[in-house]
Amino acid sequence: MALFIYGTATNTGKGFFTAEDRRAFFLRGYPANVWVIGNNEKGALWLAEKNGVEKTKAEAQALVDAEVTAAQAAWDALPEEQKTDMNPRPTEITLP
Amino acid sequence: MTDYKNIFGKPVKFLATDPDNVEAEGQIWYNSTSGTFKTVLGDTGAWSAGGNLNTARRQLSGTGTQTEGLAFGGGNPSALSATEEYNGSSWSAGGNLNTARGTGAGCGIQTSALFFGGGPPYTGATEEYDGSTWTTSPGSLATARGLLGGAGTQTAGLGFGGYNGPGSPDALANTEEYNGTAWTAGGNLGTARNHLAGSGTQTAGLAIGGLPVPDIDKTEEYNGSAWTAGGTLNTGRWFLAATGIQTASLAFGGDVGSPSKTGATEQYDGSTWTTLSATLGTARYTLAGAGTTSAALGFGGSPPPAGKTDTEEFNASALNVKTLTTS
Repeated sequence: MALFIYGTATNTGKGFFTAEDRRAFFLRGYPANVWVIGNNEKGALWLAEKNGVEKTKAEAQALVDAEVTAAQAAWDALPEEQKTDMNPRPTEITLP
Repeated sequence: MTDYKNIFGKPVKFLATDPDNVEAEGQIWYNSTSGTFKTVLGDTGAWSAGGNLNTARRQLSGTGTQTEGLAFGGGNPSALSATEEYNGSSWSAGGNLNTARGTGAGCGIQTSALFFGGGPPYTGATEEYDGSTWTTSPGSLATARGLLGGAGTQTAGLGFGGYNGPGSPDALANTEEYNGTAWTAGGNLGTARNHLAGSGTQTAGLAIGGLPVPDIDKTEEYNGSAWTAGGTLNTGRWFLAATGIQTASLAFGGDVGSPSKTGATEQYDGSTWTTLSATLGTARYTLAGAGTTSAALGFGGSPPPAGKTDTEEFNASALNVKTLTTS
């Protein structure tokens, strides 16, 4: 069985995930509203309850890649004086 | 037959009372009062979602408590003046800063906060919040800077470390103390650094993590006049957030080296950092924090492009002490 479920869901704020959720399953958020969720019953139920859309790992990775690519393009278009150590170019993210 | 001492290299401790700190997690001891062996099962708390910020931002500052939090400044990527107030479930608009900027430091409470430094351009400007309006103080940091650490209250603030632009040292060691009107020099950090976090008070402060890279796991403790070395972070990091007091601090999030951002959370007891099982739901850096070690708030941050709105609340669990039996 795969370790994780991949999906998209919009963080609606308070209550979107609870302390009980965090204890019940792995949960980690990424750009493009992508969430990596522990593959158990409670994790799957959480994604469904949040009106999430399950994705394959490849689909989820593509969404993250697109967001990062857009962010990199936006960074590349910045004036040179804004490309400082304090404002680093966005880097690639690899989903677990 | 082997025994505990042969396995772990030390004997089981005899204690009259159960320990009350997170370092007890995973340890076994003999409670000489009850005559039983005991341990703590791992569950030191959890992060859960809070209400989202109305304005996404990174390199922001924050202060207050989990139910009366304050977020101010930052960038997305343009510098922001917006302030938001948290009531335990949602953020609402507060008064705007007089000078829009990120990378500053903040301290105090929601109705009596202090914001100082920030940039670029790096400034020593200091502003005071009364719960509705920011007022520029006549006092200004003697050394203009951003990416510094902060601690204390509106009338007893502490600013330390930071960065004040190309052509100057990459990292500053300067400490300054605010008395409600003016900044004066304090004792220098033992290790100059920027991108660090701070917690505590003007006379019992804590400087945590930060750059340059060899020093990302360092902690120093301030006593009102001098800094001394404290415990070492288990996960060295910069652009992190911290909250609490010198003997009970929480450090969370941060950058651990591109491309890896962390959601790791550590608790300090005055001498040692312990990694908690709880991690931020969304790993991030350039976030801000507020609250205490038992009820903390983390909000905003990166990765880019525009900064994050995500808010998370940390709530500690009571230690789950269990008596060991043979069954």
